[in-house]
Amino acid sequence: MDVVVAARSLIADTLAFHLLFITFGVALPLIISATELYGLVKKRPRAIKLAHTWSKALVILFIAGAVSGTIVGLQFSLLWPTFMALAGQVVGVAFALEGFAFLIEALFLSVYMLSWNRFKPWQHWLCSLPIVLGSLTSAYFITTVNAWMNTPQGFNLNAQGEPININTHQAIFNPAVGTETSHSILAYMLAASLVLAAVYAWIVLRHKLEPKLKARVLKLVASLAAVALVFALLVGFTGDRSGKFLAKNEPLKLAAAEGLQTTSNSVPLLVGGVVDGDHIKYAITVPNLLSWLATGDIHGQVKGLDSAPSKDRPPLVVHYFFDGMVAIGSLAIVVTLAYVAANKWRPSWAASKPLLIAIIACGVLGLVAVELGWMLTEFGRQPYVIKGIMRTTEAATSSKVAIHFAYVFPLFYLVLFVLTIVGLKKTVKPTEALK
Amino acid sequence: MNFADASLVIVSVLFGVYGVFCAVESGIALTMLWPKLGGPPKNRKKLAFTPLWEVTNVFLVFGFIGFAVLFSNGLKEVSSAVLSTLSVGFIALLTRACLALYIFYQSKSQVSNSVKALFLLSNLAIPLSFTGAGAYLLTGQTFWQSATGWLLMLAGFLGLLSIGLAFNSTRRGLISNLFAGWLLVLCFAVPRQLANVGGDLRAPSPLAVFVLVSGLLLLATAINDARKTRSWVRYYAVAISFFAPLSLILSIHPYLVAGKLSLDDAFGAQAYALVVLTGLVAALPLVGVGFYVFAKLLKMPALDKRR
Repeated sequence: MDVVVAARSLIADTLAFHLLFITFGVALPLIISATELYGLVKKRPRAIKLAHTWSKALVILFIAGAVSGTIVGLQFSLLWPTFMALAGQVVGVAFALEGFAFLIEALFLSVYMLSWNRFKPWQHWLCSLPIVLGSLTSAYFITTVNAWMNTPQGFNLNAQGEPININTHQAIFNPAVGTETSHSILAYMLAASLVLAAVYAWIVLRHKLEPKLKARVLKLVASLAAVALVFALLVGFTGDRSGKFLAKNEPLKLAAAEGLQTTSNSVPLLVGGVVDGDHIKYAITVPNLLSWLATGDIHGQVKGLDSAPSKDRPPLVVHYFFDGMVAIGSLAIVVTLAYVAANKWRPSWAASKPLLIAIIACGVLGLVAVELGWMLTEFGRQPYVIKGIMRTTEAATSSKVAIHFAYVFPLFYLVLFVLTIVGLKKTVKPTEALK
Repeated sequence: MNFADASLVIVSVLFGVYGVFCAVESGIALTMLWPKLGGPPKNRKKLAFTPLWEVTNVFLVFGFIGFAVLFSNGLKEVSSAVLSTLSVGFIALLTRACLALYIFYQSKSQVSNSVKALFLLSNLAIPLSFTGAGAYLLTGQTFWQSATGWLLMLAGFLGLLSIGLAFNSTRRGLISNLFAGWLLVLCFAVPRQLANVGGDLRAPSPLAVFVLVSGLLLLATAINDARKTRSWVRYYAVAISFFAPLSLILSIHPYLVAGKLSLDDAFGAQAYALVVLTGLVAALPLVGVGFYVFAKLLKMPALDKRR
């Protein structure tokens, strides 16, 4: 293992682990706040209890997310010093703002947790608003940095490769920020609501519940599926916008995702298949669909990998990530729609094993899709860490120490993951609020 | 004072704040392992196992990212030299999180002494790894390569024990002795050794001020102890944890890494410095208010028990 590979493995492990928890850290505050508000407005004490139960889970997930987030911040500086030297000067402010947003979230989460049954109900709900604000803005600002890595602007480089004429405002509001932040934050919402639905579907399948409780749990699964459906449709919409954005601003990423070697018109979409060298074999071909998705015109031109020298092209492995992410998103729409429809018109189907298993599968796959989406973003930008400006090999540390630690960290993440799950199982009683 | 100097102060303060939080938690870990030291009040123990405690990580990230961004031109050299030391700190950070979760979810009697000892070790290792990185800045060598490095690590260790016990123990005599020992190492042994290693201290005045302030605080502690009035050691210890890194790092001015890298050569971003400074001015009181409200809530009875 060389130093660059070790540095990439270390940051990849940390980010993959961190993503599992920040998905909930970003989405759960909004879901909890909305549930508590619903309970207060409609005078439904069970909804308020449910918000309380979920907030206990949030605390545990928040701790794991905060620790891994801290390590992400430190690894950026230590493993990618050349990257931080440039990014810090141009978009360092976004890092700082993310930190302050996290600070607000952590402060109010503590007050929120301790003030259940200590503050009056509406006062307590008001405490949830800064948590929602903190979680969304911290996600927004940190994604801004990634968006800037994809479409860097707001500076020039002098002859020594140092940034000059820095315009922080232009750097933070770069072209990719709108599509990337909206798509990723909505994807977290989708994944979190799918996981919640999956947990309750699992309870129905695994435990013998008394009929009244079972009916309530199934109703909750249906409500969460409906919420997931809304988010899935929004994710689909922002995904379409992202695709069009990629075609225009990051054509190589899209070309690699579709294995498109030459710039052409009327380009088909490849579904599935196996990457074999420079091509994708055995894929199902849907005529003209990529042209339409990328340009809005079935005969539109899509740039291929030949538009850049071979040393600047991303690996075709991103085809798997792209297909996996889109397939899971589509599956989520179908399954949640089917569940909501079944609950409305065929309630016995909503309690059936196949539909509940499908919901559970979507819960797991939702998190996989979040990981795949970020893998597409990162691998699709290679061999650059800042597109067109800095190669990954230039950005990494030269210290060989990184190689040893690349083997150690995954073990610790595994232990922390297991302990977090054990903590959740010990602390959170998901059906208590519904009794 | 120019922007580079101000940035150094900002980063130093951020690490100082983080150091205090780390020390407080180390004290909790220490008294959990050895209850005879006089355990912390129940409320304080609760405080260390909540999301609010994770606020402390923000100061670490701010300090670290702040250093990386503000001194971006020197980052490559510094990061290569301290990567191994700080990676141990990262592992300790993960270990601490694992153990905190474990301890939190086990009943008191189920937590073995080995787990408590590991929790204490991980709590000490995090700030000590940053002390090790600081030793590199002050000596231009990794801490294990020189006696000064080891001495600085000893100073860090004594500081953690002093602050930790000052906040979490009732053993007043022990705390005062530890505090005095810490000041002796910091005020006399470290500057003397630094002068030997570095050849000359370019700006000895910050250290002179530090020695004077420390001497006065030591005297105040002794008077407190003799008169058996309220002990202020914990506040003195916090003050020293801010003063010490600041005066040590300013003593090698205009260098960031002694003899190797000057502050001006290493300094990068002004915009970031302004945002961090403004943010901190707003954030520090907010954190204070947060802890205050939280402590009040811990004592507040539930709504249904109020009359």
